[in-house]
Amino acid sequence: MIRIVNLSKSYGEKKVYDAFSLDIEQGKVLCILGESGCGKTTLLNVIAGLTDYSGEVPALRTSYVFSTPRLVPNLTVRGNLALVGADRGEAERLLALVGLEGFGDRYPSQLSDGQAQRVALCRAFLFPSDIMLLDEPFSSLDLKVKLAVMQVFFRLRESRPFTALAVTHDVDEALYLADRIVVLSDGKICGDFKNSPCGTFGADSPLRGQIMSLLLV
Amino acid sequence: MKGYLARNGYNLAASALAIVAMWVAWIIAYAATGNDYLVPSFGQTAQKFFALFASGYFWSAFGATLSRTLVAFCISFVLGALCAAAGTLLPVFAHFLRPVVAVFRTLPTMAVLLLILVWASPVSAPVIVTVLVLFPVIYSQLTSAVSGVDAGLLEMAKAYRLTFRQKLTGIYVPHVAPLALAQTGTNLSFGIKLTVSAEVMAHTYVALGGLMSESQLYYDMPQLAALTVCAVLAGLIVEFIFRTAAKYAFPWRRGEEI
Repeated sequence: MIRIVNLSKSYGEKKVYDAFSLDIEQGKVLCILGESGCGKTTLLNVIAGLTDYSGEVPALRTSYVFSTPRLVPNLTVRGNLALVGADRGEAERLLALVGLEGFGDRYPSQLSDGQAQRVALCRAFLFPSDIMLLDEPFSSLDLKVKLAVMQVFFRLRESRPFTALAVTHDVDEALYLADRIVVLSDGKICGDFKNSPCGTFGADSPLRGQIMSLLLV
Repeated sequence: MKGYLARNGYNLAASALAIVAMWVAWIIAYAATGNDYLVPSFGQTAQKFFALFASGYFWSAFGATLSRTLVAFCISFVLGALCAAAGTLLPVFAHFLRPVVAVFRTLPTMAVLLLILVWASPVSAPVIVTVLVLFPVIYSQLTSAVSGVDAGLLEMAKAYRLTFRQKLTGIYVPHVAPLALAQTGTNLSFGIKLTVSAEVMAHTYVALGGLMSESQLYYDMPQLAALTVCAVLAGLIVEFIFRTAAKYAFPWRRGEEI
């Protein structure tokens, strides 16, 4: 179990978190839902050590999938994966799994948005981390590409379970991917749901209505 | 080639038109003054220009001027790169350098040359002056290139705990190198201009500036104009070579205008 205890974080006068606590079960995908500005990305940045805070947050090795791929433009796909210490054989295997076989020598500028985001997912997956952080990783993609990349994520977690904390404001994404869904509002948990990740987009889940009612308050 | 012409036809035509306009302005200025000592004729200048190529002394002078420019550029580049790197790692050093660079940037070149000539030889003085002018330019270019590194990439590097060496060789150097190479042509061209000016003032022997000074002394205006054309052409060729190299030397941005 990864425990975040009494996390407090402010940006100037604005308090984002005040004595916030959260347990993250290992080997599961936890999805955080909430409106823009409720502190979702801040939570990821705190865990990744990208911002200062007060409270107890374990020092973890993190892999991070940002909302944009953030691939190093001067390195090929293979170079980007090698940069985080990925073994070449494992990298090739994973590229094949995400449908990018033969793309190893391409530069990021030669990839489409969806392909680049799939490489970013591979990079996060190949980095030996304690937790994978995902910051609205599908938000910049059109629906068709988004579904393809989400399928890749689903396939990856089936091939090797990992601990992940994803933030999104899309209920369908959360229902698709997560084992547990937490709804945040003003830096506090206002809903906590167990979910069976369905791997289908727009599924008619009984949780959907409950989550939507919390988000629309 | 056909595709290149189709894409850049108008631009090439505009550049050709500018060259023709400058040539016509020369002819008009010559016709208006009607005095070979004020504006030399185009024909005489062209004759002197081609005659220069047959002279061994010209090539020695041309080579010496280019060597001085190259030495001054290398010193300025190394100093600029070291200071830009130190300023990035230690912001306090960047603040320390700010007034120093501002003073260097505003130094009146020719006044400084006269001061330098008191203690330095006419051979080394142009190098020193060129370094004094080029260093702040290169330092500012490199500092601005380093600060232009994508903040998102640096955040990614921090999240994945990349080492300093990985960040330097994987992110910083590849970002700065294309910009630095593209600007090297402009800086060298500017360096040629500075070195030649300093050589003229210092009456440096075996130098393009020295030859110009000599031509002025003997009122050999066509020769002076021909030497000026040589300096201009050298600068343009250097600029073209480095701009083209910067366009094609980095495979991840091949063909991009930098």
